[in-house]
Amino acid sequence: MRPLLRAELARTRARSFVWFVAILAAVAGLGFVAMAWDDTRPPTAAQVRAAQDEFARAQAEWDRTGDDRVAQCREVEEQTREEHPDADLLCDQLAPVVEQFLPYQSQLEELGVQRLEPVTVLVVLAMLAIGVSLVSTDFATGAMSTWLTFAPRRGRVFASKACAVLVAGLPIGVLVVGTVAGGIVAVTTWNGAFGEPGSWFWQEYLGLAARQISAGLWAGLVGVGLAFALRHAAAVAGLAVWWVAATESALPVLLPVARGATLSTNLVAWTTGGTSYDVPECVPDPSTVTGEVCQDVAHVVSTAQGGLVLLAVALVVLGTGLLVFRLRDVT
Amino acid sequence: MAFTGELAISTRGLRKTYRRLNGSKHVAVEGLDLDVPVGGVHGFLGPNGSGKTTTIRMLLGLIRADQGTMRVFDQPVPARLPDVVGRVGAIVEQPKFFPNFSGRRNLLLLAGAIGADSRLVEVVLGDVGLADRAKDRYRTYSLGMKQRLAIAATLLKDPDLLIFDEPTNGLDPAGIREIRDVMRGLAGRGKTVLVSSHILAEVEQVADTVSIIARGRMIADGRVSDLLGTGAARTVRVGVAVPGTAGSLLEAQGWTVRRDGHQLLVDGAPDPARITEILARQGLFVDELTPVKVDLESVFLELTAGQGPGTRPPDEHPHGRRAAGSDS
Repeated sequence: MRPLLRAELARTRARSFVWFVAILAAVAGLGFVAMAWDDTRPPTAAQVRAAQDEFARAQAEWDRTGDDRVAQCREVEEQTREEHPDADLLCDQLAPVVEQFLPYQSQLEELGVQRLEPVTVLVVLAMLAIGVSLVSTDFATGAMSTWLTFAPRRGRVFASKACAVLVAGLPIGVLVVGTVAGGIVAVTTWNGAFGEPGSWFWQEYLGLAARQISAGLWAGLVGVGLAFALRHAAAVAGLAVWWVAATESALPVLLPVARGATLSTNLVAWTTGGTSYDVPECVPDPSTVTGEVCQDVAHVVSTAQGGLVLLAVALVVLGTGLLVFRLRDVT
Repeated sequence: MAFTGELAISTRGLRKTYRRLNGSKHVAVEGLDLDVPVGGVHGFLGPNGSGKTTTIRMLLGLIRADQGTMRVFDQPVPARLPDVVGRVGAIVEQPKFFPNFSGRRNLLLLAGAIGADSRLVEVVLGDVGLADRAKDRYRTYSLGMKQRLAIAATLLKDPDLLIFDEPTNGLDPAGIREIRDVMRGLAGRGKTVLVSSHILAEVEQVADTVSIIARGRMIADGRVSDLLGTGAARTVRVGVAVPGTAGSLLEAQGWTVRRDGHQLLVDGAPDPARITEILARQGLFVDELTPVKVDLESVFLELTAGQGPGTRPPDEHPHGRRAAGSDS
């Protein structure tokens, strides 16, 4: 098994498609870094000048009407306190400040996780493509047939491919996710928006990155399983499109409760540390026009549930792939 | 080449059908009994689509037989294939290697995968005459070099049995000769070589024994010499000034005589000298007396009664038979 894995890894390294997808995903990930840079960049000189102009006008207006506006505010505040004694309308902070007129500069703590989250889709698609290509190319070119004449134990060949995608996928996942995660920190620091992120942020941020890498490895394994089962990359692509259209998109619309079972929900739950979805639930109410009253009820999907669903899907797909590979002719 | 009577390959009642897109079944191999003796070169012959590659793929466990049994070195396959695969090196059709790797690196990769000693790589490259081009990328190789590299790959295991499926496809005459020499060399080193081909004449020059199949069924097998001896044998072309009279004289001897232009084809003649003698006694002198060359191709055509390769199931033909003196 180990010699087969070594050979498989050498072949994987030699595949230009693998390098192409890895670099493409990393470059695409730079788009999220660019968005983070845009979110945190300091105001330009023109923006500062414009803000100062606006501030000067606002200050002049405030000098003219400020006292009246504070008095009105106090009046409203008192009325409000009749019902809510603790109400504070911040009437002493109505005076304009220049920051009001400058573009808002987000801090790392505010946007880091938000900008990193979409990378899940990127790394999952990239690893799925790599996993599929490692197997389907061998079938398409006839290399699988040649390979099996030297190593006829199909179970071992299957296992070596699955292990190869894990071993090769780890650095690819680290490259893509690391590029984005590191890039976001770098650009926010460059823009002076690093702030003072707490330990909770780093825990969440790095945890998200680690789980995204694991999701990539999962996708690679699913790709290998699907390719062994279907053999053709086009067939896998067709199945994936059908799955997204039918199961991920249409089914939750027709049957809202099914949203909890979709791959996308569980993938989000796994990578982001849990998620939730709303299901409208109705009860009969003769007093209403429609005869029932409805409200959205939130259903929580935990990280553990997401992980278990992904694991089960991977096992089913790999099992199917292995079964088909062992039983079907290789021509 | 001396044969021990042991069999490297033996199949009994092998059957394989493929389902076509329209749902109908196509029988690729039907009740095939194939015996390949240990030692020497065994030609596995038949026209395109006759079931040779399917049979080889079944032997190598690439496809599953619907019925029948197969044994390689007396081990049932595919069940025990992993146990004997170390003794078998095979090329099925055009083998696929990594185009961006050099020939040497491709072999090193394979050697690593099958646990062969990497020092063997240089040895087998030398065996097939590729040592000088070993560092070049596989994609720059000619077709003949690719085939030789494939043969080198099969030698990495130092196998007892080598299976070559159409190894000379697409090769020029020099390439064909090279491959033939390699096969004879391997047989000379005590290996058993099974070579499939649809070009019967090509294998005739190198094979000790042959099996000929058509439409998935065995139509003849045995030593090449036996098949040639019992095939369209003992036909002599006779050129004579008066073919009509000469024909009558020869027919009177009980031989079958056919006119071929101004010449006669005499079937079943025991000895060309006897023809000369009979005609000379009557004052008829031959200007040509040539034994018609018998080759596997003519044997095959005779066995399929000129219906064209693989056009008629062999068991429908009255002459379908096995050669006398067959090893199998």
